[in-house]
Amino acid sequence: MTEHVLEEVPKRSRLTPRARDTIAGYLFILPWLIHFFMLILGAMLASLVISFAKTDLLTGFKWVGLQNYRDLFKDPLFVKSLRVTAIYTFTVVPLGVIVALSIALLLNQKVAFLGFWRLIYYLPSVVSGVAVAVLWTWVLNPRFGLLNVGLMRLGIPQESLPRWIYSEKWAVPSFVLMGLWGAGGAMLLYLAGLQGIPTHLYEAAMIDGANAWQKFWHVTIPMLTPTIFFNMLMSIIGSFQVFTQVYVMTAGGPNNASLTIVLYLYQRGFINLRFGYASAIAWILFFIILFFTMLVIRSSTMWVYYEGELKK
Amino acid sequence: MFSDKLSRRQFVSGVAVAAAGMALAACAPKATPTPAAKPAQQPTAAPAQPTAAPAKKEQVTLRYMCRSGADYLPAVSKNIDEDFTAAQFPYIKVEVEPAPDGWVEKLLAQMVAGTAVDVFEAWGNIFYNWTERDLLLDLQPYVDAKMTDAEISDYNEFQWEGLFMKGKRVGMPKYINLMTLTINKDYFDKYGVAYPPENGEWNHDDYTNMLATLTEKARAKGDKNVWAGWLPGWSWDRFWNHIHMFEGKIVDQKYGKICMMDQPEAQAALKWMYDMEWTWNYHAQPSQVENKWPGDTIAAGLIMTAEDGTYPISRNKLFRLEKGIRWDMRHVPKGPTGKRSVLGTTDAFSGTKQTKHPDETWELLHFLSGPIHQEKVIVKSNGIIPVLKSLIKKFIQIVREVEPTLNDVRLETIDEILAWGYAEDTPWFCNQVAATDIIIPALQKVFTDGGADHTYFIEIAKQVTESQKDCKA
Repeated sequence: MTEHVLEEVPKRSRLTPRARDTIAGYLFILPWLIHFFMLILGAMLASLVISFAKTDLLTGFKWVGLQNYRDLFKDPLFVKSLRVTAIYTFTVVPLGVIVALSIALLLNQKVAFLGFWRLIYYLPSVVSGVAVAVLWTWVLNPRFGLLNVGLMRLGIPQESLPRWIYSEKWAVPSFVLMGLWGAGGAMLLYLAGLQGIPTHLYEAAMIDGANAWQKFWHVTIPMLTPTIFFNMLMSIIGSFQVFTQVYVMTAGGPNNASLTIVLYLYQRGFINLRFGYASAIAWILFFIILFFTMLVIRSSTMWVYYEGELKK
Repeated sequence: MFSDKLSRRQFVSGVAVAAAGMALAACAPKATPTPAAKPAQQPTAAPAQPTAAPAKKEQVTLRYMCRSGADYLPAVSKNIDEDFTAAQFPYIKVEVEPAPDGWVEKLLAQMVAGTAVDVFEAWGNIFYNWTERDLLLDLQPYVDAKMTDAEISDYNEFQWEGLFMKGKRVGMPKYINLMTLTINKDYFDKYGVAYPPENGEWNHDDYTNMLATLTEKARAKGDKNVWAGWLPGWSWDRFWNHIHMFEGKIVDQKYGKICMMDQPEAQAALKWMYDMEWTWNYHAQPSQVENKWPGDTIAAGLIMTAEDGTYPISRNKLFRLEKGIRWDMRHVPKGPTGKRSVLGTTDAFSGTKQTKHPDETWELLHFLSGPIHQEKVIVKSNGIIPVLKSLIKKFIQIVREVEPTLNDVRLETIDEILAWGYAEDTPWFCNQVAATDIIIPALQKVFTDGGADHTYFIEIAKQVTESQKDCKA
């Protein structure tokens, strides 16, 4: 006996395929939207309100208007933290581009054990912040750290070697070095960018008689500008928020030489319980990052080249 | 009938239902209502005697955030269950919660949320910050109502007075940490230098000469990676006692507004500290010893003597049993006029203001600070100095029974420090936060970086005094 199974005919939707795709798209991003609206945006708006108040969140809430913001710019420690963070950012971002791009160029060559080298250079960027901080405390050890032992081998006398994180002068450069060590993440993106450059551009350049430098400057760099743009943007945002390393390694010392904005925010909020003041710092930092982000985005029309894009 | 394949429609519907469920779950009230954020009622002036009619009391559960490590927590819980709940207060159940990493921030967050534990453990500057914001249960009414003078006099004055802040008693003493001079006898024997005197009859000149001799002999033998002494001068808790020993002061009075670090006595002490570290390098510089705490530098063999805290069992385990170091402890040297001073800590058990059970919280705090818990847990389990004078000799005897190699360590020094009364609570400014915000970076500039000498504190003293002018005592 043969069974005839009638397939259920799906009901026809009243929505157009485009509308269904749109709904599906939103549903897929719904978990992130819930997270953003409930845990991030809510907290941000709350901190904006708190920044206009004097409060420890425990015992009272006194509306002070713009007082926290006015006090900030008279606070020498805040000004110092701004200076420290700016020095760090404007050193580590350009150097990071140069170092990551240089490594990517090297690893784009046909050399033996290429996979191994790529792994070695990428590995630091996946190590967590605290582990990196502990590791670098040893690397920067003035007596037997890798760095100073290396410098001694180069003939620099021991008494002239930097005391790195134990010195006011060398504390920020120490963190810059650490920042450069993690250039593997950006390196990977540059590598992908390099491998996406069409070879016919290099062939055309060769036919035109370009040497290696001219090919690099007139083909490689312009074609990599979208990647440079992206990496630079991410680095600026990240480096303005530097916290973990300084918190673990120096707690902002010595003599506030490595006091970054986020560390100062943490100290004022969670140690001194001045959450209104700390929130004002957070919003100043937000606008600083927004300013530099917009600056880079606006300037990108002048220096970022997208293949196929027509200049207006 | 279900199909094997999941259609996009079914998937999208499922996701929508799940997301809506998650959102509703996130918005839903908790199954257990949280305690109200309003402050708990003030303790009754004369709390009822707990033993009067415990059976009639309503069952109460207290939460106690305990900072003891995993090795010690079972002993804490067992002692509370047996000697507090079962033996004295059957209506009070205590849930011991291990303090998490970052417990200060987490406890603050609990306070903001109104879900703070009833009992926790902390020390001076935390109590000071939180008392200013009225976050702690004031224990003074209970002390007045329930403790006898004899009982109070069994506590050490520096600790008992140190826990009375801004008119409130902020905690009951937990244990004592005292600074002594820890010495590595192996180095003294190797270089043929006499140990510091056991009776404490020595001064800063003797101390300087001893460290100079140790340094010279070590260098003469080619030992470059060992330093005679270590005093982390950048640390608030390690520097001020030398100023006191030189008859100087940090601040004019308790909760005072005038910084005295520019005065000649304080300057002399700061100069001595600076010279020891940077001019003569008899004390190690932070970069020479990875800025480790004294105990770790001794264990690493980097240091011959260090002004360090006193934890006989754990230090002996590290120095003697693990590293084979023959160690001992001595009194710190006297200052130029014969004065001696060390930090005695104000570690304490404390109650949160928002506890719903202030009377029961008091009973637990009183028990934790009392003779039974002190002997069974603080002494026998943790091996640290108890807060009661009457237990000190017993403490020395017990830790030596637990660890016989401690017979080689002069633990009587601890008893003498307390009997001679030279342990002190830390100095307190009217606005301590503003003062330490200025002084600690300055200490780092001088004692971590070496970028300035003792005279830097003349300007710093002016800045600190200026920072106090708006403080209402």
